[in-house]
Amino acid sequence: MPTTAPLETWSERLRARWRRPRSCTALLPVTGTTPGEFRARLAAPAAALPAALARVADLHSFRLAILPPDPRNGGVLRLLFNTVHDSPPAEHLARLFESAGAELGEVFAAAGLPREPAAMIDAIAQHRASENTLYLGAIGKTVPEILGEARLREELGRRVDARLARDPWPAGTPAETIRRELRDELRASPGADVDRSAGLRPANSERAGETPALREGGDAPVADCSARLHGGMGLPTHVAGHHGSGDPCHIRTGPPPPADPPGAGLLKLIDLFLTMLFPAMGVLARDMADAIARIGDRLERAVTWIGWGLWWLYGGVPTGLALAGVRVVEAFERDIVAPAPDPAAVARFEAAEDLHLKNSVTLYLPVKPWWTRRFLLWVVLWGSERGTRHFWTAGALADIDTIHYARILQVDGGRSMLFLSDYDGSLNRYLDDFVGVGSRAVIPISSNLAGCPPTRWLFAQADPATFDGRWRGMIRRYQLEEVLWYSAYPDLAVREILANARIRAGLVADEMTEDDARDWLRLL
Amino acid sequence: MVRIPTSDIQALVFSGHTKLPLTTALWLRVAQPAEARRALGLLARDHVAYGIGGGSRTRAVQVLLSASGLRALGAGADGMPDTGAFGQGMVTPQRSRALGDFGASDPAHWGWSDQSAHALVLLYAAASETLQALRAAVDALLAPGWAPAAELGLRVPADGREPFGFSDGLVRLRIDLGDGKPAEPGVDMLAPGEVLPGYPDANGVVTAAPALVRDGAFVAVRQLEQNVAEFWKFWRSQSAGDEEAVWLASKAVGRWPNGMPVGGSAPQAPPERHPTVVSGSLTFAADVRGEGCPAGAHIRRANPRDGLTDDPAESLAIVAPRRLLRRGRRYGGPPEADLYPAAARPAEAKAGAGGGAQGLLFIALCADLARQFEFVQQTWLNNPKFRGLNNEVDPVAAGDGLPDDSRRFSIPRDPLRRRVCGLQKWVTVCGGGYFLLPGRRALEALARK
Repeated sequence: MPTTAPLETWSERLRARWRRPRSCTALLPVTGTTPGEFRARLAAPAAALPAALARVADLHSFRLAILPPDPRNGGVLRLLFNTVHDSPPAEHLARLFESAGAELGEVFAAAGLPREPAAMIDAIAQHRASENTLYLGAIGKTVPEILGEARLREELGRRVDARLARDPWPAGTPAETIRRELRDELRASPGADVDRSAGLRPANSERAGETPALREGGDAPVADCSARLHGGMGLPTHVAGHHGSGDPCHIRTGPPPPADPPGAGLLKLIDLFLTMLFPAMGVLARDMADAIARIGDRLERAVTWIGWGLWWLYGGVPTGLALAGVRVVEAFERDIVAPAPDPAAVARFEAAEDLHLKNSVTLYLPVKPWWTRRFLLWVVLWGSERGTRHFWTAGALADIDTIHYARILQVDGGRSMLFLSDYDGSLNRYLDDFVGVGSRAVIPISSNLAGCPPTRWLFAQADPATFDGRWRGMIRRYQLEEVLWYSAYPDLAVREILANARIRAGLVADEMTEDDARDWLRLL
Repeated sequence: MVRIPTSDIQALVFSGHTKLPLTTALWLRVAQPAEARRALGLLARDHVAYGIGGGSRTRAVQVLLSASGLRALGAGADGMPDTGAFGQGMVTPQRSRALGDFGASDPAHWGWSDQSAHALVLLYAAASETLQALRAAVDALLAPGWAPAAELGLRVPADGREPFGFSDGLVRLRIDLGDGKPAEPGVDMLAPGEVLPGYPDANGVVTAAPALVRDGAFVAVRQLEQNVAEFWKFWRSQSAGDEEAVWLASKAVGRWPNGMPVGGSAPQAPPERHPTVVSGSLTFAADVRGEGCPAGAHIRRANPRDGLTDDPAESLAIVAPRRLLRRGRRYGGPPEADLYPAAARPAEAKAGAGGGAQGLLFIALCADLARQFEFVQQTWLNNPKFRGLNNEVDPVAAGDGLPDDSRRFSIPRDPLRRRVCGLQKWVTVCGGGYFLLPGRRALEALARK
């Protein structure tokens, strides 16, 4: 579909060669209405969207939110549009508008935008906002893989239960023998192709039985608890234990998961090299060390340790100077206290939380009103993005292992920051991680925001006694009430997705050592 | 170290009054605010027990107020914690989601809540005659300002078993008062700010405490009814005999009925009880895979200790700001002996005792209801993905509204786990609320309004 503006920058295109899913964010101008009126007009199309979105096979997550008019951007009302997807943006948006064109057309029309699919894609391209930082919890996993592997794990678990009840393996049976028997049993199932497929697909339709997560408006009950808890896994009817028809062993194949294109590894290496040219990268020392410690090959790890040690001859002094520069900025700036959150707004946020295992949060925060902070935020987000590309790649962002995707955008000419996150568990627990185990990734970013309590040396809280309360207050104060949040797998945790992938990889392996097979069986 | 004015703090913070085994819990409503304030003042002056070793040797009274109670008494907005969990109370859709209060545990079915009750008065006594006398004196004081809303008789059973037959209250916590007194063996020290807002918490942080909350604690109270018959019927249905049923149930709880740490990959008889082992500190760092105490066992979810992550020190740091000071008691008469396998039968169980309601009035003190009580409920007990588990919930006390495929429990074994499916709901919430256990000065200030 022709567009006048690109849907992806060249760097995003290169990045997507080794790092997916992708994220597409647009800030669409809204005309001829007020925020309240606009929200009311979006209610009906937003309610109809989830069913249509569930038909989009490569859609991980989707959200709409209203950005209130703000002096920082000239007082324009805007609609935040974000989608996390597998395929390239043009292909994905074409698929999205093919499935949900009518409903999205209503949304765009309410914003005073054209409602034809081509024009909508064009509007997204024109108002596209690039993420400064995109963190992914389960890198490279497509929607069909994630859902299929969850079903595969469930099915394997059931088969193990049945076998243990019927004819348990004799004591002393090697773990590798058990693994092979399970693999062969699944391979022998009619229609099964677990080696090539993304696990198991639903039996009756493309996405049969799935009830996506849905958050609309805030007033209407979204999904009842039963639907919330029963539907999220997208289990096929026979696996879910309902009265489905057909062969209980029926397994159909999904499309083969996309492999990284040739040269992706080299591109990543070049990107890492360019990253390390930034002399203040040493502020991520701990995360770099963690990443090196995870390297499996002993020789490669040893060489990397040596290389990293040598890097400090280049980056040690600049890193120290950068931290000292930040300290000077911290010492001389005034403290800005965020206004207290509106209790009614907080009550509305809470009413829309915890409907599923997975939650979402959207924040629109002001950056401190000094160019030093705008610049510092840009630099920190640049570093964070490199951290997500090369160091936080094992399912955890600075030890926070519950984030599916986090997107951070510096917008309004650097005066505002948008934070969009899909995460597991409650917001309180998430924020605990932000000021606790993961604070080294979060505080350097949030210290640039108007309302963040004072910090020291980029990472430390100046006054731990008051930091937590003030920081949480700032988050609630600048949280946006989403019009719609949709997730294709609202009840799957990041750790679970990664474990499911390991289970499938282990299942189809030709052979394993006894120790590896034993570890694999423990995953079941 | 900050000085803690212990004599201004209700004694329940320092003691579970275990030497006063009989209790009456009275839920009350404000009928006449002025009279209610007057009665509260007299109660606070003449009956409420304060401080370490507070109360007489034969009786004690503790007073708890809900947010709706504070409003009814006319507490000013300045000192009133009117937002967050306490201010909203336990009966809101979001709190129900966090706590798993659905189905039979839906607040719509509760006998009392922090909305219907403005106060909870706990009367403790060593003997039933003393309790009756105390009750009469308190009744006379409370009328006509306060009207009764609900009542429940509580007790501490002689053998310390909860209704399913397992030893309870084995974790011993003591608030670190900064007096330099070392903890006795098996006693965990708790930073004062984990119970008393306004004092240093586990991270050394002091949060602001409004005047009404100063020298007080927040309290989560839940009436948990336990279906003993169905509990043991289920575990027996999964077993070849009573020995295996007790082993399975012990794996689910995380300890043997006699309190000994559970272990073993095959059914076996419970070990002899060794008091030093039972009262000693339990740790999980050496049992990362849960082959002794399964990762999904009730006690490991409720208090993961050093086994939440692979790093024991990190785990302890995460767990420290979630601790709860439990002060709950059992209700119901002696249970029917036939319901239990012999190894789990409480000493007080009697043949032909009948099937009256059995349960616990769960009472947990903390400084921050959301950070401590709700976090434990939502993120540990009711979390189907707790510590990497795959769609499993607390096998003993999980909330309702869970999908059938989450009603399972894995017992790690080598090479393959044993998985028990079809777990039932044996614990039903019959009432619940968030309360404040005010300090002496807060009670006096309320009475003066």
